[in-house]
Amino acid sequence: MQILLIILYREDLLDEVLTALVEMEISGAAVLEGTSMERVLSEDVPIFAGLWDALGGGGGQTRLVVASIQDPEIFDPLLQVLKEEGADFSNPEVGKIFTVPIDRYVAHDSGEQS
Amino acid sequence: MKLVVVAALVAVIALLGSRISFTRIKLPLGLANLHLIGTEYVLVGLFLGSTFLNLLDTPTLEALFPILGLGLSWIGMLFGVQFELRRLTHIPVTVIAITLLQAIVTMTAVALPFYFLFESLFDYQTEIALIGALSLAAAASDTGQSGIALIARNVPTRARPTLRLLQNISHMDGLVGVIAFGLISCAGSLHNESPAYIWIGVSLGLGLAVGLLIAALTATRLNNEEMLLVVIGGVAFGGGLALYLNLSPLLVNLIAGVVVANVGRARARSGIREVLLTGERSIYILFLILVGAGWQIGSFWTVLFVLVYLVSRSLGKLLGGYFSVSMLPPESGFPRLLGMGLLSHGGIAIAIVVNLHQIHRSELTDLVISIVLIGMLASQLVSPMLTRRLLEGKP
Repeated sequence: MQILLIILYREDLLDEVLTALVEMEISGAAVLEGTSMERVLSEDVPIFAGLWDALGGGGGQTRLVVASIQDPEIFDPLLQVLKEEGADFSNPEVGKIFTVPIDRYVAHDSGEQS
Repeated sequence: MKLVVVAALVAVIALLGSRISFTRIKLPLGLANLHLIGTEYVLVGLFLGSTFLNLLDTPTLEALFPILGLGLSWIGMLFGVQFELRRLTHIPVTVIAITLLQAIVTMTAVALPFYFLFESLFDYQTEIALIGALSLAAAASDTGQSGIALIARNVPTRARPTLRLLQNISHMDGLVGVIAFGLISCAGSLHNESPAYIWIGVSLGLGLAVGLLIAALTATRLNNEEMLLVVIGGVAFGGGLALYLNLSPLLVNLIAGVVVANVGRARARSGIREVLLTGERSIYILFLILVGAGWQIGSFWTVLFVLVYLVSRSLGKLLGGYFSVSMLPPESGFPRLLGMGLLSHGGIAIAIVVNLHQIHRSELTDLVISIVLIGMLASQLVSPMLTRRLLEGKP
């Protein structure tokens, strides 16, 4: 079992990413809002759009999609489906995708600690 | 030919300036704050205008009039599209109440003396003097974000809640000024004495229509060029019609922006935001240059008006902050002199007085622009120091 992490820089592609996950039968993902490090350290000062930053909707916002996957072999097919949906992660402006092995976990569907 | 050359020159300055301006640079606080609101571009405009080089003379400025209208509309849309109700619920109601109260108290503190001054010194009808005073008051109510942002990183931990309050107020209180000015622009004396409620309805209807149109057009996936086209088209349509009807393009596009933020699809909102933010700096610089070029500095007496403006605005901010904090329980911990941190002036103030100049031109509106521009320069110089003293607990 692995954790799939998708750091999405292009918020407008969130629907496409989630659609691809559903297509690959990956469910139960969580979507978290975040701010890129560059944005936090930015020396830019807002002129009119400070409220966006204050409420977490400004430029430089990212989405972190977290899901667990049972079969590590689906990673490459998932990349292909994502690309077909328009989220091509070979483009660094889109974001990053990676998996992390899970040593142990407890969940209602696990039946036991693994 | 001159128009084309000057328009190209101004566009080049705006494009280059957008790459290097509005970032923190190491200067004394007051000067850094002046840089952050783009004061240098007002001076560039003044230099290119009839006062010095005469490149941007009156006929050329008249010809560039639609660009100012587009700039106002862009600013209105950009400001409005931030007000997404789903996200606004993250801001406590007390913060919204403080924001509104201090803005209204400031408007009152500025409008009253200037109404009596304009009424007694200018030979205008009462309603025009009132429009001038209220427009000035609407501009005064806005708090600039730059003065607070400039010192935000070096604030002691215990003062962080107050800093967040000041930031939230400065992000939102422009709304009061834009709405107030939008309502002023509906006054009967600016519309052949027809009832104001008709023009309030037209402003609302136009903003709703433009907002719904943009939301509908962006419901399907658009590429960047198509999104740019829809946004510019919507902004120009709403702003152009507003100016044609002598209404406020700021208010009309603010309403359109709020509609888009709350009705549009998430993907559309994101795309529209990117387009508006991409053009924000260039358009603002263009706007400042043209404001500077058209600036009639006026006589020595202007300085006296500016002094009255600075005193009444500061008093309004201080009283507004005092009343607001007094209504909160003592454990809130906010300082009674909260207004000391709200003296920085914002870009919305310039937009409001330029909008006034577009819907009513007279010696009075030239004076109002001068008061706000000079008042802005003065308050930008001192506001970061006062904000820092407030946050350090040394008022």
